Amino acid sequence: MDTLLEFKGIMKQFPGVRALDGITFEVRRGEVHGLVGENGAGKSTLMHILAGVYPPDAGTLVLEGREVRFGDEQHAQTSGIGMVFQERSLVGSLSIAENIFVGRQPVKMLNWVDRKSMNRQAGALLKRVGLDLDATAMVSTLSSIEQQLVEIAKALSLDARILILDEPTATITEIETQILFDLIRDLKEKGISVIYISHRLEELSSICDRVSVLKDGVYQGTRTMAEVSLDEIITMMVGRKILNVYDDRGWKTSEPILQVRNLSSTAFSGVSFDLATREIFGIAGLAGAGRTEIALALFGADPYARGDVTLRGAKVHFRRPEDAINAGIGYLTEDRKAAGLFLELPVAQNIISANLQAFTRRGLVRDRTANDECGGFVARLRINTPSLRQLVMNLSGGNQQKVLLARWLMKNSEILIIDEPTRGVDVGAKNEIYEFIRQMAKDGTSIIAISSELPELLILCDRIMVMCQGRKTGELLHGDATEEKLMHLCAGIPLEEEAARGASDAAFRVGGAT
Amino acid sequence: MNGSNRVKDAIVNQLINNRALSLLLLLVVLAAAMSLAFGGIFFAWSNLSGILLNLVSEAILAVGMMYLIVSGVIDLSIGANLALGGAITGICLKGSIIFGLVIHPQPVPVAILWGLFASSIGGLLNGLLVSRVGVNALIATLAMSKIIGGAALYIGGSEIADLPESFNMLSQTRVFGFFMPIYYMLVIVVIAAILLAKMRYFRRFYFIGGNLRSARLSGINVNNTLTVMFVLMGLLAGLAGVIFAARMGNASGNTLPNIELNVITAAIIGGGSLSGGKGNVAGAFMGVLFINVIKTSMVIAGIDIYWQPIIVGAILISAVVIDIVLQERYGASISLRKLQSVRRRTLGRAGSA
Repeated sequence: MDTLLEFKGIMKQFPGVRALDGITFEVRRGEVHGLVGENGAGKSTLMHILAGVYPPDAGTLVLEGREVRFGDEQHAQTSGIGMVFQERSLVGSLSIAENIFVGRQPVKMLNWVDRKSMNRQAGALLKRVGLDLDATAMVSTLSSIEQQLVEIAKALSLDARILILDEPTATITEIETQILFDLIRDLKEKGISVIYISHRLEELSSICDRVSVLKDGVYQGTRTMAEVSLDEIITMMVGRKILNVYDDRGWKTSEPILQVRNLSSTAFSGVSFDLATREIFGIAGLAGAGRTEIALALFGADPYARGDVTLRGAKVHFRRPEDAINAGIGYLTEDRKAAGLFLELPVAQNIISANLQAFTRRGLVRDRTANDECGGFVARLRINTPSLRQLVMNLSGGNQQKVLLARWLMKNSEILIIDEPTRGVDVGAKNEIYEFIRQMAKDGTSIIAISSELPELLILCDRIMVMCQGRKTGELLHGDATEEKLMHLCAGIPLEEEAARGASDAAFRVGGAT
Repeated sequence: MNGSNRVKDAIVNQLINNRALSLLLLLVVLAAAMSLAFGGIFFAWSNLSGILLNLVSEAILAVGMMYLIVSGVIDLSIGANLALGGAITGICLKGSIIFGLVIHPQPVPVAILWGLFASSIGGLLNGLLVSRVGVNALIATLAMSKIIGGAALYIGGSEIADLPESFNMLSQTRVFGFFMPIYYMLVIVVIAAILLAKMRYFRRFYFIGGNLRSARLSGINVNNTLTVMFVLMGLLAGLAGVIFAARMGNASGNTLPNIELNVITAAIIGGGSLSGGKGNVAGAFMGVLFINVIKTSMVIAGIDIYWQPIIVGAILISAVVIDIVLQERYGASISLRKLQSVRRRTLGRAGSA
């Protein structure tokens, strides 16, 4: 395989930080090249430079042996760089075809959009990414993975030779990830190079040929995936070894604190489970399985039609989150930016926001007491912030998540529901968060952990319930649970069948080397 | 999914997404009801022509406002800009002295061009404030509405009477029973509708309103497009002002109260969304027509005038609420479809489901 793209000594300085410091490596033709590093390592900055969003301060990009310098995004696009950004870039109220050809729709006379030609070309692109959809369908009607594939079709529409995927699996489930990987393999066969950025390291071994590691803006090296272990990559990223194993706290089934019987709503039906004291209870499932919806129903944020919820032996039916909070239930949202944090408020305000009552005397908030207490949590959770007055939006993903954790720790809820505890969080912070969750369980909190990352549930949970399309498909004790079994239940396939067919099914080998 | 469901889906889809069509249906029902209740034919020529003549200004403004709303911004200075266009045209026709500058009476076309030019400059200032300086569109155009409105009043005074007949006939001529302004309005609406639906340049508006960052990254020059859009809005306001002045036979520096809010109301009833990315010109026009027909019906029905704003407010809220409810219900049925469209290479291998 020959070299398609070289980074040569790329430097980039932002006010106060050296974001990139002499990055040098190459990407070969037709390879999937992983790019990893903790938050703030410089991956996004490097990709933004490659996509023409801003120029490097020093250093050069060499594309097919020729030095290139992109003035703007369009220039990069026409040179064959296709970028799929982490955030969705589609407009829901327009058709797939218009989204793919935004701003450069094929035109007839007088610059009129040639819809026929546009829809035909879009249809061909959709086929190429494995989507069997009408190009005139509105984007708002598509599922998450469909939108992701449309984004890729959009990036490919300019004959991209290099496709940059920034956290492509952040919003899709593991089964859907396999669909994405199939597409990436297809593209690779056609000679397209893919630069693949992900926090989910397990994915690297199943999709990447080589992987490059950045740390604090400095290039750490490139390894051939087949010859390197994930432990090694993690060591390169963080410079220390991380233990990623289930912590046996000696938990035993005990009197349930929360009993859920036959809970049903529009999103799920007939779900029953028990949550025991000090347990970490996992809920696994694909997006749309009804995991988050159950949490919202228990928390009183969404209504449910039927079913009984028993809390400490007494029947309850919360209709407002305030009621659930007062009864000792906390909920950490899966979408911390949209539904959890007040991004433009300081760290301290974010932590005390659910606890204002405790810091109020005669209607006035006692800021000093609140700050003292927040300081304690910041230290305990090792939240990396210059001060309590720092605005939350300036913190990294991991530290933002810790701020949310601190809020509910301060609330000292008896039951805490944590939805996607480590989404968009780097490896180092992930492990810290796992530690805190375990510590909370040890200290007496009962925890429901919802996650689309199966390994995460496996190392955290004492028991795992699996859901598929709104129904409970199984429940496994920690000792019995494996990724294969969980994946089967997630896909709605009973475990007996799996045993008969043999557990070697390649499609379920998601975890790779973990 | 069977055939009847498919048809049902298609109908629901049309009703949700084609606001112009659903408003048209409502109008037909309303007209039929009015005809039955009060005898005669509600949409008789005379009545229809009266309704249309009254909504010319609002309809022309609604076109530009819909462009802006689709792009995720609004313009509160259009009422003032309309007054400015009329006032400048008026003083150019009659001659005057402003800022110590003697203006001699100009020929009609020249006077009109000056009026349109002045309003376009107003729009340009809006555009520059919003796109270059980065002032929020609501604040920028609110401030500009005061500035332009004051300027119009200073220049035009409360009345520039006795405009030349050669100017007035532009709006006071009848063709096939309809006054000319109705034709001007229809031409503008049709052209504007086609531009937004067909032209590549105008399709950009949806992306700017739907996802600003994505529009930028897709190589759309957002700042220039926004500026052009505000200039266009100013030009349309000027046109409306000129047509209105000719219809009245006199110009005025007075801003019509609340016209910008009426126009925004019509655009939202017509399917626009203040969060951007949604709407079309036909919807905006039908929104204006709908509100005006309702108002006329209330007059015919002898309903007290104080009820008018109450009813219009209720309609605005209903339009938005119905939109929310339909989207929720329809959205739910779509999410059940899930992964069916993805070729099940992987799934087939994994589950043989």
